[in-house]
Amino acid sequence: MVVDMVARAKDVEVYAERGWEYTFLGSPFPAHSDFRAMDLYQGGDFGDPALSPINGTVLETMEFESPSLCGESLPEYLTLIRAGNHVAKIMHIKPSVREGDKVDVGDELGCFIKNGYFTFWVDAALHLEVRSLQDYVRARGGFELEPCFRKEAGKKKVSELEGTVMRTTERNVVVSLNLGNVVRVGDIYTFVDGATVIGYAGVLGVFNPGEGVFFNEIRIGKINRVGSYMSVFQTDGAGVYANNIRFAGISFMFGRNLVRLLPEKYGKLQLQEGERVKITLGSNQDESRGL
Amino acid sequence: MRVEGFDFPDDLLYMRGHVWVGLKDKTARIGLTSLGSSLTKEIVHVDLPDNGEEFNAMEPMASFETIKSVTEVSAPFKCMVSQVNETLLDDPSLINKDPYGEGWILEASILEDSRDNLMDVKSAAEYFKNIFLKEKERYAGIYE
Repeated sequence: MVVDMVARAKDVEVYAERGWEYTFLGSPFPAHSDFRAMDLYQGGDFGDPALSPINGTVLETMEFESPSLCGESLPEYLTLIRAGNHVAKIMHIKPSVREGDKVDVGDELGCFIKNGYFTFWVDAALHLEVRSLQDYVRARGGFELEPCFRKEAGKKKVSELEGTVMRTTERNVVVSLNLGNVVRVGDIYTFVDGATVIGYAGVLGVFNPGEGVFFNEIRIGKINRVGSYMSVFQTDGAGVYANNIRFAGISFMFGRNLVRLLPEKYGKLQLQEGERVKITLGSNQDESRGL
Repeated sequence: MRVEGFDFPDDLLYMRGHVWVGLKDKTARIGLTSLGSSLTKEIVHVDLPDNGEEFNAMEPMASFETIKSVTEVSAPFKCMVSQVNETLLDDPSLINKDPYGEGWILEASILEDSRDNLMDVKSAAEYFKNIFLKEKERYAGIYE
């Protein structure tokens, strides 16, 4: 198993296997929009084992109720792992570890679950925040994560955005693109992170508010907020078409050439695994712009 | 009135952010609706304003957090806080357990009377039914 450190905050280091995907800004919850949370997609489905992205000792596990529509119980769990003088707050897994267990990167923590904190297009993911020992339950109050990313963003431009469907489920379609998840902000090419459907996404680096963000020279938003390591841009609400099928949006995985096409409704999708797709992106103002 | 199983008392007014407003003379009591309470289960923390603080219409007055979400409570009109429900500081889950009773959030004196941001129960029922249906789409697949 080859792992890389992908983020850190205080004395907590976060690792990912080479095949995992991760996002800092691909979620509407405030810890993400404030650069204080990340989601790690480990390739497993709901019910599959969730592996630890950190080294530490289990401080505590807790059970909570997540939002629900009809009063039914949809449990959520906190798996709290102490590393140094801080705590990794992990969500969206049902823990099998117990207080006092020592865990290393790659050890099984439990299994992936879904509940009322999920929108239907979200795959099984482990949510992680770094917190103080005195405050690890609330939504706000985590420490800003520093992405540890050493790849160079390429400057490639393609005449047509194309890809191959890697996986299709009722939730989304994963496509391997002929272009990396790289955008241009001013003269700088950098990595993009997040989904166009939640109103904002992010880029690696600190940019000036107001600057446009271009994916293959199509504008997809403008910078409106910055952190210490990343910037948030307000998305233009672009719709996405794959082989002329409309999707609600596109989700970029940080530093990968994989994207998720997010459908407007949950259910069987018309694209098949292995199928070649041509992708076009349209904004609310002009649905017909091609890449 | 009931909307998809959630109670919306007839004598209250409602705001879009799942907030109810009970008016009595020149004072408003404010809380979270039962639908809002179900969509923000297990509140673990509240931030309440100080007595005497003034807010313009739609300015955030209070907020509460679950383990993942943050919800702000906006002022329905220009008002001044006259009392906050301090029991929520020790037991914020009262908002979930009894949203129209012991889980009230604050009371405020009305400084500028306006109904621009308020719906009566009939309009609220229609509005929140649409919200419910949209949420139902978002929840698709969760119960499998």
